Amino acid sequence: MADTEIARNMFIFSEAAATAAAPVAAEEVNPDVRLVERVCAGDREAFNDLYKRFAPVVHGIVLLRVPYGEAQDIVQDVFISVFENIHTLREHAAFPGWLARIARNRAAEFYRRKRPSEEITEDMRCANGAAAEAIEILDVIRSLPQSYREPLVLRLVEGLTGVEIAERTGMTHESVRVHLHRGMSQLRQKLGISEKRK
Amino acid sequence: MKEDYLWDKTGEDAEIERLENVLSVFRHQGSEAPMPSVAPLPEPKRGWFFPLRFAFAAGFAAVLVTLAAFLIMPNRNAVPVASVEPSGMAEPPVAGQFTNEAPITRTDVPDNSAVAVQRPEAARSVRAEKIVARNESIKAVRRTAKRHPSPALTAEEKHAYQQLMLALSITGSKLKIVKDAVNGTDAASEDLKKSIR
Repeated sequence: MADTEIARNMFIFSEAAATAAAPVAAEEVNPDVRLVERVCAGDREAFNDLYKRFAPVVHGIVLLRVPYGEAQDIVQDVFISVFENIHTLREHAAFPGWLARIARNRAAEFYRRKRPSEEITEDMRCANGAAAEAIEILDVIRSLPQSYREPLVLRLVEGLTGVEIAERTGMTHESVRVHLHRGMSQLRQKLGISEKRK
Repeated sequence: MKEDYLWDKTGEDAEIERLENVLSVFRHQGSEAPMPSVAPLPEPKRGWFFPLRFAFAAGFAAVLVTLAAFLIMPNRNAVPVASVEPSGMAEPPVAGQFTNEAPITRTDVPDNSAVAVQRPEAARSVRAEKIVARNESIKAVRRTAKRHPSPALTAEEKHAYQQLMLALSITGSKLKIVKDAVNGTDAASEDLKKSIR
């Protein structure tokens, strides 16, 4: 009895040791992890690179929740918070998901403090029909299920590809692909756009 | 195909392109990162963070050392007990001692009644002294036996001892396998799978 139990425990420990070694290999390949490590070490240039890479993601997430005119300020606040608290992040590979959570929380905080009367008060540079249509489409995207909103706004507004969305949000490629496809289908239905086939 | 364009911008999809153009007014305008005045704090992970596999290996090594020390200690104490067992060792020195004090045949002693009377008394005293010495040696043996219990084990104890030794041997072999697996040795992982089956 004792030897089987000892053997079972040893097997569990050997599996744990093997899995403990696996994440180390993944970190060595991911360039975002290297960026995060350099930022933790105080590298301002790395922080600038991190900002350029992830600012569109944060902006897209925030844009879903706050007026366009407030989004840029919140993006700046998010990255200041990231810079101050990045040392608390244990797993550097989890940075994209961690950053997205901060962005959502900051956007929710803003909306709790200030409630704009109507979305039409978007601070648009061009006051023409295109701006109004843009606001209408954005409102429709905001009305979609939550899992479809972020991939769609990152794809259509920020111009990221599906691969970039997956890498910078911590989602899997398959998940992003499914949400993009289904979200686009619902968006077409709500906008009354028929699907054209080549 | 449209889905390809939606995924990675390959191919064409006029409708999606139009939506992109319209919504581009909301796109994030590239700007410089904010420059916080405070430098980020260093990661506090090196001080206490310890790789999991080394922790397990150290734990197993400590358990093995403790068990080995526990098993070795009674064996060292048993040695003097075993040496006390043959009680006959005590007698020759005692006998030699009294032999000198109890001369049976002496050529210089005149053969008279006083001497004849002295001989039985001397013999009695010699015997008494022998008995006393023997009793003292027996008491010494018993005192030693009390301090150091006999190494003789009961059947249950023997069985438990055997089980313990078996567990130790298995643990030692498995520890080696774990070490080999951590170091990436393929043969070690195969041995582990065989032993589990």
